[in-house]
Amino acid sequence: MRKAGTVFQLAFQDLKANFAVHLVAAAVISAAFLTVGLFVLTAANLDALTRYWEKKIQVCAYLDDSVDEEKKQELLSRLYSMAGVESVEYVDKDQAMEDFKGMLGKDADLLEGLEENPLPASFLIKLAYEARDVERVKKLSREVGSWQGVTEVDYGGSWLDSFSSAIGIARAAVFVLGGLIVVAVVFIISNTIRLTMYSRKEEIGIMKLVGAGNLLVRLPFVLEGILQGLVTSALGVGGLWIMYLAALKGASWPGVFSGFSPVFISGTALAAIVLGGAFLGAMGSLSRVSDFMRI
Amino acid sequence: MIELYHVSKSYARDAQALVDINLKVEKGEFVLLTGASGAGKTTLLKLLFLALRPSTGQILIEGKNVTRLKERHVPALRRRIGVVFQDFKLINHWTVFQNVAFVLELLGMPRNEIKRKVWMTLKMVRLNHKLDTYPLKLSGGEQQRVAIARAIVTDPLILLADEPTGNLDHEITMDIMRLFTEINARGTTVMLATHDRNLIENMNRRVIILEKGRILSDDEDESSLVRAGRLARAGLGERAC
Repeated sequence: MRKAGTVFQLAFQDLKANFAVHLVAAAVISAAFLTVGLFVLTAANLDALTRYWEKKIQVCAYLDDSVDEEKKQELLSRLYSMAGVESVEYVDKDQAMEDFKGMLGKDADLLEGLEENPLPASFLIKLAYEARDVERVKKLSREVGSWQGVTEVDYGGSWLDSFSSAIGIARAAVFVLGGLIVVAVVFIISNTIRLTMYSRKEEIGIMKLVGAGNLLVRLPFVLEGILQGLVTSALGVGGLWIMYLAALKGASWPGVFSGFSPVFISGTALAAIVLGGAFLGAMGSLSRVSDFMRI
Repeated sequence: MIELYHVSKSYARDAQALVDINLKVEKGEFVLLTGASGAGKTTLLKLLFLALRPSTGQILIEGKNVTRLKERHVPALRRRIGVVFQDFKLINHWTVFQNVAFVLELLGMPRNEIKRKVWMTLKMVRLNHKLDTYPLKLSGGEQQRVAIARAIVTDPLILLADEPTGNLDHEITMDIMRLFTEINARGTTVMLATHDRNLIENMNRRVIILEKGRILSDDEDESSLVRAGRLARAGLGERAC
């Protein structure tokens, strides 16, 4: 039986001899892996964006003008007794007006005609990090909103709800399209390997005629498949990294996106793509070389 | 060395390539197999190196029945049988050395021993100065000599050759035939298929004539006149060159 070194040598000889074919195949497969990577990256960033906004959630409970100091203390102690509440800041009517003026900036003089301050006092409730998810915030808001002395509770909920639904749909679309892309990648790899196999059909036949066993003929091809899968998936991910860096550099994130830092694919997903590439390469070679083994 | 008992081979649609072949080739013999195109020469050789299996009958090589030899044991048998084809069947992106060395690597021979053996064999076919040349840079005769070197480098028991000079001119043909004779003189059993009548008459060896898949004659001692008649009947009436 041949030594492993000769199997490597055969694989290398063939890569060298069919360099152009392998180069074209590598370009096609890399592009396919890049597309897979784009879908994974999009899914990862949709998740990150959801988490980012969830973590920014603050709950504002507006108070009735009739709430006196005693009632305020009672409400405060009830708030602190609730699970997930980290801190509560009381904003009185005057402070609310000052904040509002600050927001209006040079247009603040518009407020000078007001005879009385229309803004309510409020509690700005900051939640513990782990408590900042939409469902828990909704529950807390409903409860606080039912208390006497609280007129309204706002957590920027309506748009966050809509955004969560949109993200859910987008994520599902990414998985469906990503799945289709993976199927397409398997098809492309399999057919690209088949194409390279055709150019080596005679070589396989000759090797068998002079006494090479099936395993010996298959192994160099499988090795090439693994190598091709590894290199092309790594190239695809590399291309994705470059695109990611370029997007970070050139992008200015507007409005609600400000402060959000796009994430790259996780280490686990990267390893899965590269190892998946090697696996697909091996399987593609193995399935295709069998078509040419009957001599 | 080679024994065939009632061997027949049919392909699809009942086309009979070989019909009830009975044949015995002794160790060290040199047998010429001839007949018109489609007579069954190539099929017979393919049965011997198990590229095909007989439809009926038994084939024994070195006393061992190989008719039902398991697929996984076929490579080991092929490593003991050298085969030379009309179209050389060399791997064109391998050098002459790599083409010849491959079969020795299959046997797991040490690297240094491979180098020595390949060089000796290429010296025998007078191509030791073309070790690093690629087949397509060689002439047809040289390519066939590389194919012969590959076939004999393992010191096979049997050397099968299917129209090895079919694409070569007369002078190179004679050169190649001298090589086969030399290999035979070293003890290797040679079975060579050809439809070149001139070659058959010059070689003066045992000749098996096939016609439509059957053995028309198998006689090493028959007179040249009788043989000429049989060759003519087998469709080889005109001299090939």
